[in-house]
Amino acid sequence: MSLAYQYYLLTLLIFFGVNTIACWSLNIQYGVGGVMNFAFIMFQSVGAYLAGVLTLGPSTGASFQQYILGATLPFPLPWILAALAGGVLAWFVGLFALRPGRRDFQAMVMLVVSIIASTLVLTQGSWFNGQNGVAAIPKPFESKLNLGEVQYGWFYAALTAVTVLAVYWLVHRLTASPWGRRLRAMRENPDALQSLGVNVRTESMKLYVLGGALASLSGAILVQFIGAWSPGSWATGETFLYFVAVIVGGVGNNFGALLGAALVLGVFEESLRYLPSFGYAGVAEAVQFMLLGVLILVFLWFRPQGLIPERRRRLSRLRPEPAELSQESSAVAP
Amino acid sequence: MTAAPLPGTVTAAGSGADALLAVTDLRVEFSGVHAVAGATFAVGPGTITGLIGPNGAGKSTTLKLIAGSEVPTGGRVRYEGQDITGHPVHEVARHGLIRTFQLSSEFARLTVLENLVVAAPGQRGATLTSALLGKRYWRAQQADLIGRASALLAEFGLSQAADQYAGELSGGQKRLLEIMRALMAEPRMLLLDEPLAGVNPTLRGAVTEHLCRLRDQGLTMLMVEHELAAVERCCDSVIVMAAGRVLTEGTMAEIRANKEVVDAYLLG
Amino acid sequence: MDTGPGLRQSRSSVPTPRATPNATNGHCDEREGFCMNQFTLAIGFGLVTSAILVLSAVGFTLQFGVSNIFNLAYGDAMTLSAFIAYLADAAGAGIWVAILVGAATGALVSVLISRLIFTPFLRRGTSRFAMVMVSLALAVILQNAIQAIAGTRFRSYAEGQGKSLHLLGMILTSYQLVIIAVAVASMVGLHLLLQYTRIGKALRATAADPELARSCGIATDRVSAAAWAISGALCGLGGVTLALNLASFDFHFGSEFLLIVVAAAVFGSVGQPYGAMVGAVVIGMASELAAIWTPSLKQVVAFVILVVILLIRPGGLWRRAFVQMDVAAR
Repeated sequence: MSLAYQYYLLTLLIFFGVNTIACWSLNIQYGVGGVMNFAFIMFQSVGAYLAGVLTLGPSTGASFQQYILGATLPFPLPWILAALAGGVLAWFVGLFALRPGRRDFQAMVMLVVSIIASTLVLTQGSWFNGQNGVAAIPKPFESKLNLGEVQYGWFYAALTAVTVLAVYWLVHRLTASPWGRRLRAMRENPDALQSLGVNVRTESMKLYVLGGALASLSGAILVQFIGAWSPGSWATGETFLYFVAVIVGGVGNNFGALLGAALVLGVFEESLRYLPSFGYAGVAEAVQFMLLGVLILVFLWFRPQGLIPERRRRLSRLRPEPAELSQESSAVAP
Repeated sequence: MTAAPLPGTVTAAGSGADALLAVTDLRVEFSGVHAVAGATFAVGPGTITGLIGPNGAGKSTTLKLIAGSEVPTGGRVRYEGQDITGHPVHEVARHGLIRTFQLSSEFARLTVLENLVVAAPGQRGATLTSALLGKRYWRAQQADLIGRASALLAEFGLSQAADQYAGELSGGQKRLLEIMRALMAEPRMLLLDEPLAGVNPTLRGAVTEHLCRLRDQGLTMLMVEHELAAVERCCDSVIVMAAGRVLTEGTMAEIRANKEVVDAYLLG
Repeated sequence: MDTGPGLRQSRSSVPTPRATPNATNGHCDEREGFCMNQFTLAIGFGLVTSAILVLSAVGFTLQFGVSNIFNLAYGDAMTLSAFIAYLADAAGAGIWVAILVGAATGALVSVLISRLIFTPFLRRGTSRFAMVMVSLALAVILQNAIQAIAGTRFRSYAEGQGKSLHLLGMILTSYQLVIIAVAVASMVGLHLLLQYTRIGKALRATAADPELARSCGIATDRVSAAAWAISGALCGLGGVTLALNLASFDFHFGSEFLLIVVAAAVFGSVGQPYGAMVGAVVIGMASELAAIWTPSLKQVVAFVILVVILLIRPGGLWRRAFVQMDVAAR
């Protein structure tokens, strides 16, 4: 295998890992808890920007880029801090975005926040270098390891894989727990859950913060590999892509989200590269986006649960022995 | 205010002092219309009180006001001597005052058993942090809850549906699930919004019987219901509402004896 | 929601009505009249923006009122109408015919969307929650279809901007006057329709309380078809007038305008046509006046109003007042 080809595969692999974490973040919010995070891409970007500036070193002003919060923190601090920042931002946004009772209204507020955020980053050039974005972000341990590009790529892929496993452990533990059940009930009918004594807004907030942190983590992993992040990387349309991935893969199923990350964000996106280009620049992309829209409609119509549906939890298997049941089971109805 | 009591009327629970739930001069106004315009009544512990009246009388709204999903523009709701007026829905529920919905509100893509288990208060592992403690922390308690829920399903004759998605149940079964789910929430008082709507006639009797038995076990209920036969069978007292006010209250027999009320609101 | 490759490279801000050529020079007395002049100019632009918003927001709110769907494809239906109107205009039909063509396109597209997409999905039991994704997918399809066919280049109506006229310190082009006239005529027409026709009364009843209307025996199917047609025509008019007011437009100007439309609708309680009229004027004026200080504030003002209202009164700020207004208008 040629080195270039290996490197291409590595890139796909790392993107897959990043997208998997991102899809799990969106899945636990939208698929499990029913929170429509239309600001998703903003959270990924916060992670990317923060991990970037925290490794770039202080901004001298003399360089081609200027930014705030510049520092040279050792790995894995930039990733951890990026995740924390995503959580804090989610908490702040959630304070008002989760207030409306209707979830489509919440989604509108998040969309507006996302657009305002990207406008701010674009116009406030001193924050994250405006339109051009931050670039030349160093990779963790790259200078110390002294490896070739491909060998280092394998190292980074391993780092990503370990993180993916850790995140899987987290999301699996949560979705399989009584809290996960509560979240699914919240997705189905928040009013009914509230009337059973659960503070739906608090639970949504916890979920939103968790999802924000995971999204930011995915951004941090991505940016240290590709080395740059600019407003062009996070147009609101990108959020739509992640929603397509989760809906196609399987709403509420972690393996479904993983499959969606592979199929939609991997195969579908990459396939464009191999299509013969036609028309003027941009037509192929427009057609691709149209197909994604059609794909969503097709799935919502024929298979709203996605390729790998949410698992039905057959709790009756966990029923204690009949002897332990109360004896007063005088059936009311036949 | 309320119309003068009918001769020989016994108030549901005497004065508000020994009542479990006391509602005083409750009002709410939407877009200039008084949906509830000064309702006053009390519900004694261990009784079933029916809330009847024509469409638009403000019955369901009264339940919503008590449960906290609508905020009253005036008046007081006292529960166990505590003022809960305008408290948020989940806080009211945590006091043991559980409300069911007029339209079935099952968690459709949860199984029937999950619908019940999720309703239990004080669950281990039902918060973000405790969920991280892992299965060993919450498994035993969950098994207990599954046992409790299964017993309830057996009582209501729905055992075979335990692992079905709640959305797959029939309309009547969904109503039963609604009541069972409320029972899983360890209520001290139930606010039932038309529990028999959509339940077939054979099952209706069974549900009524069941409500009576729950009452005998000490559970208090306030029930909005159009099915007068059921109200007659299981309600200790009945409150008649019309145009947002309490028209009269008494036993069903007394209400029926009042020709004016019957003409205006029960037959019409 | 902006979704398309075009946006991945450049994210321009919400289209802002272009100032007339001489808005910033020649007519301001630099020594004393500066503020006054800026102010009256802004009022003029505010009127135009309000007129466009009135058309779009009332259409949006009517759709929401009868369907309870947050239709994210609304902005792209506006774009499509403007493009079809452009074709008519380029063929030499003249601006008035082009405006009518735009309205007809909007009505047709909206009815088709509701008949072919929304209603079948709702019948199939798709949750309101998932309907947001359906409308988002539609928005993506429409916008990218327009882009694939029409390309990314900017277009202008053949008429250009027309002559500029001076009116009470405001400077408006003749086409901006056309926009205001279209808005006023449409609103008068809508008012008469809502108040004096059976379908209009049924429409208001359905928007106020769909369940109650259904139980009162109002044929909600027919009402909803009428509502989609009427609101679609308004959507088309909104699209054409917005395109007319921009010096030039491309494939996503409508979707960029959508959130401002939503802001106006939400300001007046979604579902309330009279509320949306007020919301449109308030937001149109507020954003143009804010632009006196910083042009970039224009869209921020609308967004802030939207977010604040969704926070404090998701049902709309003065729901009661607007319902009473509706009652009083009878």
